[in-house]
Formats: sequence, C-alpha cells, structure tokens
Amino acid sequence: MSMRIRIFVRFWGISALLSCLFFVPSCSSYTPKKNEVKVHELSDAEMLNPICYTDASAGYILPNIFQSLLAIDFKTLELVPVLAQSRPLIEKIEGGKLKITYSIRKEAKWDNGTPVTPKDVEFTIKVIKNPKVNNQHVKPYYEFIEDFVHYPDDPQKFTLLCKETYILAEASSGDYGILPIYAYDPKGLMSDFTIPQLNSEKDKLANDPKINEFATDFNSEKRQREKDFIIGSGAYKLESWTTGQQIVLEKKKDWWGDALKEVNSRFQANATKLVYKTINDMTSAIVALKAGNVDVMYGIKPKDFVDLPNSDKIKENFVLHTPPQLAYLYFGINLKNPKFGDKKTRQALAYLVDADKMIQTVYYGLAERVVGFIHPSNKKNLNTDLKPRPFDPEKAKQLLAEAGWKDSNGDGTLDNTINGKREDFSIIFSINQGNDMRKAMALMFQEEARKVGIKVDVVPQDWAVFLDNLKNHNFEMYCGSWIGTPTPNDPKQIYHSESSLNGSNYVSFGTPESDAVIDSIRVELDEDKRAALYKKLQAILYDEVSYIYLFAPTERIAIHKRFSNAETSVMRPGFWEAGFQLAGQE
Amino acid sequence: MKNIFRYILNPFSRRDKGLGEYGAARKDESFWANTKRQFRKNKLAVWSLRFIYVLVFIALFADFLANEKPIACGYKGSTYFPVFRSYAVDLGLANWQSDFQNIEWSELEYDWVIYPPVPYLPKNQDEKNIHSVSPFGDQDIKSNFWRHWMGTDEIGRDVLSAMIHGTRIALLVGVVSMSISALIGIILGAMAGYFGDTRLKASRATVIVGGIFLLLGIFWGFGSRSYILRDSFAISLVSFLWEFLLSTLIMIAVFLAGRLAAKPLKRIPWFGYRINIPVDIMVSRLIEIKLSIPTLFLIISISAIVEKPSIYIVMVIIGVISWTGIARFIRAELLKVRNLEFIEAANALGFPEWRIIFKHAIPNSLSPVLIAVAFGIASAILIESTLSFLGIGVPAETLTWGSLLSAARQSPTAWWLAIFPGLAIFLTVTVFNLAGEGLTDALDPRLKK
Amino acid sequence: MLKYIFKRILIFIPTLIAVSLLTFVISTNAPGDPVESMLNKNQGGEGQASQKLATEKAYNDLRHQLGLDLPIFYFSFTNATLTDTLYKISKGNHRNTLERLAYQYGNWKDVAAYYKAIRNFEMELYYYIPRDEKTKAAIAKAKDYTAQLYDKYSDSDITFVFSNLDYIFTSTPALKDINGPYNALKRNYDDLIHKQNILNRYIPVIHWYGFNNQYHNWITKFLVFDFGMSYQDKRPVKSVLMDALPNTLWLSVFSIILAYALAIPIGVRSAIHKGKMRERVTTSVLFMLYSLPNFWIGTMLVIYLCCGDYLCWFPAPGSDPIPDDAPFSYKFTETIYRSILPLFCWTYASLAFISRQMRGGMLGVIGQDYIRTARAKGLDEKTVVWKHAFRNSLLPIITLFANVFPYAISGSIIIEYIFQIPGMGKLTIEAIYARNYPVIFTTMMFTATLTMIGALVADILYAAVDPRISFSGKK
Repeated sequence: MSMRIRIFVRFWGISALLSCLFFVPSCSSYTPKKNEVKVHELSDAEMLNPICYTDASAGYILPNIFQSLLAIDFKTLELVPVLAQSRPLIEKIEGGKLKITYSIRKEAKWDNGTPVTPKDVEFTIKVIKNPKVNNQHVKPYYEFIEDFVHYPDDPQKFTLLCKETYILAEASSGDYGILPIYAYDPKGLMSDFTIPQLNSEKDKLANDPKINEFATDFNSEKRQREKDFIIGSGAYKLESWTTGQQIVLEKKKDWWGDALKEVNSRFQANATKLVYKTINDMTSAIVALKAGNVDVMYGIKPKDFVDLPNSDKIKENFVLHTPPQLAYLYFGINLKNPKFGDKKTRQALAYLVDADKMIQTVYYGLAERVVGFIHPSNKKNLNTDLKPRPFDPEKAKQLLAEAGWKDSNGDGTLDNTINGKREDFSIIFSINQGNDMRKAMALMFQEEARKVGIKVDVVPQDWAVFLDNLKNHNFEMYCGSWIGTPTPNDPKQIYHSESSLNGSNYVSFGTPESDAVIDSIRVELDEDKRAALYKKLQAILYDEVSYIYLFAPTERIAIHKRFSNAETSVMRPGFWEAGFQLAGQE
Repeated sequence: MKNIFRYILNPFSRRDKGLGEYGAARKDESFWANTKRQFRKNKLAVWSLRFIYVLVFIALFADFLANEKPIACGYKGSTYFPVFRSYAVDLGLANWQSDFQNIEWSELEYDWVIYPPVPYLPKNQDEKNIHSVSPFGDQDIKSNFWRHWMGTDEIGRDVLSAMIHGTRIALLVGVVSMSISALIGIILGAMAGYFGDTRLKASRATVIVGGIFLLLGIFWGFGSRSYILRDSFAISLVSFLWEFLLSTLIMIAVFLAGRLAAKPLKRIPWFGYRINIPVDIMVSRLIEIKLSIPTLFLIISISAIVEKPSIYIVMVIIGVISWTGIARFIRAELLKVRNLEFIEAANALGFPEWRIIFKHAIPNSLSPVLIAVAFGIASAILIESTLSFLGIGVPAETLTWGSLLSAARQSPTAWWLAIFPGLAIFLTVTVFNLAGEGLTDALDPRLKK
Repeated sequence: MLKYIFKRILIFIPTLIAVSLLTFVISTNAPGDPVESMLNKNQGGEGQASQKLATEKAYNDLRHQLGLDLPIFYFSFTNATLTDTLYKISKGNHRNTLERLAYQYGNWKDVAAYYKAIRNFEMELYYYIPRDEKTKAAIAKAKDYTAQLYDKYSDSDITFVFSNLDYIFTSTPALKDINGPYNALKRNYDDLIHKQNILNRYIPVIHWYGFNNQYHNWITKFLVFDFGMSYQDKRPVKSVLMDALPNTLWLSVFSIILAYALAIPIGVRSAIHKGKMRERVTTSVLFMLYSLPNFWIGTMLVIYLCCGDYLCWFPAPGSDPIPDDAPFSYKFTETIYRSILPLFCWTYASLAFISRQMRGGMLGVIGQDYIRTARAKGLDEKTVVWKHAFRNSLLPIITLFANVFPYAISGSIIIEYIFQIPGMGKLTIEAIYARNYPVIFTTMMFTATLTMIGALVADILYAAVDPRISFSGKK
C-alpha cells in the first residue's frame, strides 16, 4: 500500500513539474509592427561568399548583401542596372569578339564611405579567376572575359573584352557580386596579376605564394560566415548566423541605395531585418508558418498547399500566391538505347503519359501543360502550332505496331528485334529517391504502360547515384526537371549533341539540324530572329521526343498579410522579401 | 532440433495427453516433450502462437484474400480461375488467354464471378478515389463491395489490400532476416564467449600457413570471380547464391589444402608450438568495426550493385547488418555460463566442444536472444520502411506496412495510413515477444518445477 | 585487471586502422562521385539542376584539388590483369570498362592500346572538318558510337558498335581520310580478343604505390587532429563537428539517462509481477509505443502540440534561438522546455526493449536457489530483489550499455529533422548523401573509438557484477 502511495506522489510530482514548464512563456512574442521579414529556407545556406557558394539558399540570401552590376528585376523580368549606371554598351569587334562597356553609379559606396570603382570589379573578376579559390564550378563560365580596360578620363567607366559573341554575354558579364578590395584584399595580394595572365598562366600561378596566400584567406571560414568579414555594398549586412537555425540580416543605416528606391525593385529595401529560418522538414515548417514563426514560405508541397486554406490561422493571416515558375518536368528517354531508336516508339510512349491526370493527382491542379522547353507564359518564343500530345493509348498501340512491337510469344508483353535479338519491351524507369511526387508519376505511367504490354520497373536511386547514372547515360527512362531564368535561354547545355559528353544532355539528343539551330541561337542577338529559331527547335524536339514534356508547376507561396505590397514573380524564389512593407507605411 | 520444429508446427497435438497438468516432469519424458508441456501452460503464449498462424495464413493466401482478379468467373460462356492461373503465368508455365491480357479486370462483363473479399491489388490505382480517401469518408464506388475499408493513399491505392499483401513481406522480412542475423550472431557470439582468448589453440604452422591460404582462397574464390558474382547478382538472387556458394567452396577448399600443407611443418619445433587463438578479441573487434560504420553508408554501398530492388536483397541486407546485438548477448551469457558447474563437468567428461556449446551452453543463454529476435522482427519491418524510402527496398509499386507508415508522414491528416500498419506491427511484435517468452520459460530448466 | 585494460587499449589501434581501411574501401567503391555531388547540388530534394553546370575541366581541377586523383592506398592486391596506373584515369566509367576488359582478356597491355586507339579515333573525329551536311551528320553519329565504346565490354556490344561504324564509313566515302585511325582501333580490338591470357586472373599481384596516396595523406593529418575540409560547405571538419556535437550530446545523454532510469524499474517490476494485469498493461503500452515509428509520433506531436492549428503547449518549430546573453535561469528552463518533445521521441522506443531485457534478466535470476535461500532467510522482498537479484540480472543491460557511447554522438536523423536540431545525425546523413568523405571518416573514427570504449566498459562491468566472469583466462 505504501508503495502505491509513493508512486502516486511521485507521479503527481513529475506532472506538476511538467505542467509548470508548460506555462513558461515561449511561443515567441509576436510584434506585428516590426518590419521584419522571416523567410523559410529548407536548408541552411552553406556559406555567404558570393564567389564560392554553390547552394540555392545562399543564392537567395546573397543579393541582399552583395550587389552585382546587373540583375533581373523581379517585376519586369528585364535585366536592370544595379551597381552599373545603365545597361552596358555592347560592341562587336573583329574576330567575333565583344566589347562590353559599363559605367558604375557615382553614388555607390562601400560601408567605409569609399566609392565603388572599376578597380573593385576588376578585383572581383581576378578573384573568380584565381586558380586556388574554391569556385571551380563557375570558373569556366567567366573564361570568356579576356581583359579589362580602365579609362583614365572617366574613373567610373570600364570595358570588358570578351572572347566571343554570345546571347548570354551581357547577363553573365555583370551577374557576380562585387567585392570591396579594401576588405577582401587589404594587402593588395592580387594587384600584381592581370586578367590575361590569370587566363593563360593558370598552372604556373597555382604555385605562386601570393595567389596561395590570398586564396587561403579567401577560402577561410571567416570569409564564409563571420559577420565582420562579409562586406558588400548591398542594403543589408550579416547580423548573426546560428548554424542550422537562422541567418539574420540587418538593414544598414543610411544605405546609399535608399535614394534610388524608384529606379528599380533591386533598390527597394524596406524591411529592417531579414531572418532566414532553416527548417528542414516541410511538415514542421508549415506548423511554424501557422504559429507565426515564419512570414514567407515558398516551395510548399502542392498537397499541403491546397490544405492550407482549411486552417483558420492561415485564412486570417496569410495570402497564398501561385505565380508561374520557369521550370518544367519531363520524362527523359535515353536515345542511346537501341530499343528507343525508332522515333515512333518514343512518340508512342508520349501518348501513354496522362499528364493531365498527373497534374490533378500529384500537383492538385497547380501546374500547366507544356509542349516544349519554352514556358507557356513566354508568348514571344512559344511555338503555338504545337499541341501537347493527349493521353491516347489507342494511338500509342498503333505507333508501337508501326515501330515493329508486337506480342509474338503471347506472354502479354510486346517484343521486337533489337540488335538482332528478340527482346521484350521492358523499361527501367529511374527516379531520385525521396521524391514521392515523382514516384507517384512514375507509377501512374507504369500502370498505363502495362495496359498496352510494356513492362516498366520504377527504380528510385540515391541522388548521387542517380546523377552518376544520368551523366554516364546509364539509364533507360527517368523523370527530371529543369529550372530556367528569365535571361535568354541557351539550349546548348541541354539539347546540343556536344553536351551529351560533358553537359546535361543526358538523353544524348542531337540531330545535325538541331545542333545547327542551337548554334545559331547562341550567337543571334536579334530577339525576333531568335524567336523564330526557338520555335524551330521546339518543333524538332516535339517530333523527336527525346523528352516527354509534362508540365510547368506553379510556384506555391504563402506570405503574411501584414505586408501590403507583397508581389510575386516568376523569378525564383518568387518574391523580393527586402521590398516588403507593412500596411499603412507606404 | 527436429522436435522443436514439429512442436512449432503443431503445439496442440494431444499425443501426450496422459501427462498431469501439474505433475512433475516424468522421468521418461524427453526434454522437448517437457518443454512442450510447459509452453502449453502459458495461455498467453499459446494464443500468441495461434495469432502467428493467422498471420502466416494471411501471408500464404494473400492472393486469394485481396486481388483484382476473380477467384473464379464465367466469361463468354467459359469458366476461368484467374487467380490460380496467375500463379502459372508468374512461374512461366502458361500465358493469359488473349481475352485477359493486359486488361482492367474490374471492367470486364462476366457471366458470373467470385471475387476475393477485397477486390484490389495494392498496385491498383483507383483514379476516382485519389488523394487519400478516408475509410469513413465519401468514396466514389460502384457498391459497398468495392469499398476501400481502410481508405486509400495519395494515388488511390487500397490500404486494406496493401495491409494483406504487406503481411507476406513483413513476415518474410522479419523472420528470414532475423534467422540470418541470429545464425551469424549465435555462431560468432558463442565462439567468442565460450573460447574466450585462451581456450582455442592451434600450432603456429596451422595459423601461419592457414592464414596465407585463407587469403589465397579469398582471392581465388572472390577476387578472381568478382565479375562473375556481380553479373549473377544482376540476373537473379538464385544464380548469385549459387555462384556465392561456389566461391565459398573454392575458398574452403584452398583453406583445407593449406591445413594439409601445414601438417608436415608441425614437426619443426617452432612451428609445432601451439599458440592461443584470441577468438574473443577477433569477434569483438569485428562487432566494433561493424558498429562503427553507419548502416546507411553500408546500405548505399550494397545498393550499388543492385540493379532492381527485390525483397530478398532486403532480407539479406537486414540480416547481415543486425547480427551484432545477438552476438553480444550470446557472448555475454556464455562468458557467464562457461564457468558453471555443468559445463565444466561436460568438459571433464571429454565431450567435444561444439557439442557442449550447442547442446548445453547456448540453450541456457537463449533468453536475451529470443527477446532481441522478437524485437528484431519488428525492427526489421521498420528498417524495411526506411529501405523502401531509400529505394533499396521492395519494388516501388509494392506497398508494405513500412512504406504506408512513411506515406503517413507525408499526409499527417490521413490517420488510416499510420494506424493500421502501426497496429499490425504492434500485434506482430507483441505476439512474437509473448511466444518467445513462453518458449524461454518453457526451456528454462529452473522453472520446470 | 589493469593489465587486461591496458591490453585492450592496445588493441584499439589495430581496430581503428581496420575501421579506417574499411571506410576507405567502401567509400572508393560506393556509387556516386563526391566531385560530381559538389558541382551539382541536389536542391531541396527536387533534383533540380541549374543551367550553370560544370564542365569536365572544372571536374578534373576539383578532383585534383581534393587529392582524389591519387592512388588510394600504399599498395593494391589484385590479379595480374590490371596495371598499377589505372587510378590515373579520371572517369569512373572508363575505369570500370577497362578493368572489366582487362579481366575478360587478361592482358592489360592490349587493353591500354585499345583504349588509346579509342581516344585517338575520337580525337580524329573531333578535329575532322566536314565539308558537307551529310558528312557532318555522319561524323556526329560516329562520335556518338565511339563514345559508346567507353561503356561497352561485352564482345557482342562492341562488334555491334563496330558494325554501325562500318556502315557509316561505307556510306560516307568522304570519311576515307580517317579510315586509318579507325582501322587501327579495330586492329587493336582484334589483338585484344586474340591475345587472351585468362590465366592472369588467377595470379595475385601486389602493386606498390608509395606514400603519396589518399589514405596516407588522410591518416597522417588525422593523427595530428587535422580532419580536413568538409566538401559541402568547405569549412574545416573540426568546426563543423564542434557546431553539431553539443546539440546532439545534450539530448542524447539525457535521453539515455531517462531511458535507463525508467526502463530498469519497469523491467524489474514487471519481472516481479509477472503475469499480473498491471504488468500486461505496461507491456502492451510499451510495445505499442515501440511499434509506432518515431517519425510519425514526432510529426503528430509537432502538428498537435506546437502552436499549429491545435494546442500550443510547446514552442513551435522555427522559434528564435536562445540568445547567448540571456540569464542562465532563462536559458536553462528554456532549453529544457524545448527539449521535452525531442527527448520523448528519442526515448520512448528504447524503453520497451531495455525494460524487456531487464525483465528477462531478472526472471532468470529470481528462480535461482540463492534467491530462494535469501527469501527463506526472511529478508524482506525489497532487499531480496534489489540487493541480491538485481545485480545478477544486469548482464543483458550491460550488453546494451556498450552501445551507449557511440549512440550518444550518432544522433537521430529523424528527430533532428523534425525538431530542427542541427546535430550529428543530420550532419552524418547529409555527408553520406553528398559523399562528403572528410566528415564521414571523422565521425566514423569517433564512433569507432567510442564503440571500443563502450565495449571495454561493458566487459569490465560484466566482471564487476558477476564474479564468475573472468578475463584473465585462468579462472
């Protein structure tokens, strides 16, 4: 008996202790008056170094700290000048080379009050080209910059000499965040080297002590995450970084760009504080949204997104947005595999994909059919003569029969003679593991294919393995997606036959005709002529079916109601959090 | 051992009816008969065993309980037995009649038809009931016969059917993988615990020459045949097992040759000197090494050579990664048991060592192992869910208890995706545990009073 | 005893070496390429890739910078078909194909010649300037087929590629100029097939690579506590670990203490009250908890208790971190408050298993003679149970306890994801996915060390609780 009482007492003791804890005030006290924007990020940024970063989260945060010469405006989707006074002057010179001339805004200032000068730009390009700096992934993209010209008469003006004519030359000549020399190279270590030297003598310079000293400092941890060492000309500075939890940026007092608010959206920095909350788990992130710990959430899963309006808290406090996204999903078919050698086979597979059903089932209607790699909203370049292939198993059967597929042994699976051998039509369909939406889409395709006698095995693979297999063309079909930017689309990386070896043309597509079209797109600076070429390329791709184009999902964003001017954009991540303003403060 | 199998198959046989319920063990009663009688006294254990039979029944007859195909039907004037035929088709013995090839079974117009109680396969996607329809919610169905009694998942697959077919997978994974790990664990653990570091001796010649030949055996058996093994793995598990057996045989043959070669060397005094083989140290280090390597890392590496996911690979992987716990338990118990009087007595009587280990030492240390195995069966089912999440588990279209649970995490409001598999796992763990406990009690000589 | 402990600590060294070697073997054979993963991130699991993708040049540079182009180990033990310079070929798929060819035909020299001939022919195709559209198309096709040769090793596949190339050559007379290299390629392949020497497969060979190898470079640095640079965020591994470890330690240590503090009494009680209703209820509840995976329970707790649409008992995910300058009492209560749910999720599942083992151990003991003797002596039940039986029933618990040390730093991936704890579990899993080997190696070596310490402690405890167990060997 005594024992029972003691247990009783003990039990109540513990629960009393626990219930005391329940009343510790904890749900973060919410002060809606503060103009502070809390953005959800699915993963922590890896570093805040504008030259070396590789991840998307850092890519979204960095433009608030570092400014580039040019950037894309969130509203107009046009290239707009940021540190540059205006868009550059581009001249073609002999040998197909380009001269790109910029002038930097006179009012642009670093934190110590000194102006931003071409020297800083040159320094930044040198850093990019320093053979020891950890940015191997972007170095090849700036190889086209051959030299840098200063003008003694105009200290703000400079010219970049570029190797070749290229549609993206303008955009990429000004898309890197500019670093201040005074903060990143106080010893002047890089001043001894010139850009041509860095281009041509890479291997020799790799052993140069100054190059190494600079690179060691630049690659060091403090340049990646310590607030005193991350200095840019942008509106915000790093205030604190709690690894894996949050990154806080604070608005600079008397920022030079405040005077230019009307020039373009890149200068609108109304929020006094930007907080990037890392919450890896989507379900937890939605709870955080409801609880008010997050003001902006993007990339919400379609299923969760359609469920959001059922919550009172969401209805009360949030506006849901679905801007279009410059991305498309597709099923890729490996053209190197002889069983897909016949165009008709590929077309038949396209008729077996019920993309509309996938949109309804997997994306809850939050997507738009696409017919090619051009987003439907891009009316100028879209080839409107092409219509998405409908789901039509009868047509597919007919095409398969024309391609020679028939069930000759009566086992229910089609077969054909491939490389002299009779083979059953079975497809290994690779997806990256952990992506349930793609898995569902693959399973839906599997069911439809089974009904016409094609055996599909859906094989999820670890991301690293998946990528490896794609690169080595070691797959039959896969589900993938591409994300674009509003800058002109260069199809070479994905569709040119040369990219089959080193690029992203995993399916090994490429006919002489398509290669020729792509080559001319790359150097055609006239937009109308380019549009005609884009349309032609879409028609070829439509006919060849190396990709079965599925749909372009819309972005799914929730933004707190207290920001009155929150607008969305097709530009990733879909909003410009720095520009958010509280209602009644416009 | 034969007896225990007979017993597990048929615990209710009344062959030993004559025994008094509370009577002392009869002198002429065999060990197993006694165990059996003890086990039957434990009502809970007996009921658990009965429940295990039910699970086995569901697993065996899943195709007749939940299937898109009718068990029997009349179609265009002829009678067919599609479920039976599907076995023949799967074995490659027959083909479908042309009427039935690649069709939606539910859409045919039969003259008469007998469906299984659940007219769905786990892979069937009911496009009218997508987005996780609740068991109690409005379902777009022809009649209540077609109702999804446990709801559906995101793409309209029937949860009840998945539960029924999942039983087969759960039992296979749980039982087979635990058998593998128990086998490895018991052998290694017993050797470590019983021999310790000092009880196994061999001459230097045997150790040195044997070691070299073992290395050579591994080289010829596995190194030189690595591609043969890898290719066979891609073809089928059976061919892999066959090749693996061949490799092992080659290795053993070379090793035995080494032992023969060592014989003459033993005459030289230095080589003939018998040294201790530190079995315990070796096995314990092996366990530590295994524990140090993250399981996921191992699994991803194994998956490198797996082209298509299959249930058998899952069983082997789980079995191979989870033996350490059992080995440790057995080792710990044997450390204690080996010094007990009766083992010493057996030793003194000159019984061969393997006999002492298996006949006396291990049965006395089974209790923690049985608990570990019973829990292991459940955790194997849960590991399987992690594996299917990684894409190394069962094929993507196969739904298992585990994969339903991970789907439940994606749809937190769809409680039916979590409760039913959770309940099934709970019942499985509990009955295996209780049955295991009953067996331990029955085996324990001290309780037989 | 001291001697025994000392001996065991000495054995740590070979074990650690074995672990490090094994890690190396697995990581070099694991699919997926760390360099590729560094260049192409898996963005948010969506598997998207930007248009800015790395070129081969970037790949080779990075590989060189990371030292991944060095031989793996001091020596290699292979069969005689392979050469010691295979590691120099940077492309994994080329390497695999060549290895396979060498294995099939047993003659490395011919394989190398064949490989060179492919490269040579590819170069010729690359530099060939076609004069008309038809030739251009033919060249493109030929390039494609030639590239396929890098992945093909079976004779039928290769002859099929050759037959296609033959067809291109006969149908495009303009290609005559590069007929030479093509014929050389075919000749080389013929040589390869006809000069088979399969016996080489069965001859073991040891190649010596010297000290400039990946393993040596890593282990020498590791010994002076330089753990290298994390591939993912390019920070020193040491500081990455120092960020993650405290978060995990704090939770895991508490969860372990909690688990044992609860499970042992539950186990003992359920052994004493075996068969009673109360015990059955406890057992069922524990089993039920065990069967519900913590990812589901965790998610449910967050949804229903953390200020979502329902109750607001616990802090919502994404709450501001506790400021460093807050008063200690606030910091302390707040930390505990925030840890309740993760602690619960971390602990509940192990309760069932530990208590079950405790119960099993206890049941084995209370039936024994000396316990009955103790009871007969009239000692009260509590003394009998806790003083006499308890100590002797601890064996299985101690065995479990050996896992505690590595468990304390390994963290729990799922709980860390759900509750936003930037700890070791998350770190390790992300490192594995990204093939971030410096981080994997370091955590693995730590785990190994702690596992060994755990095992040693367990062995000492065995001897402490049960005098019959001895490790001296003489008994």
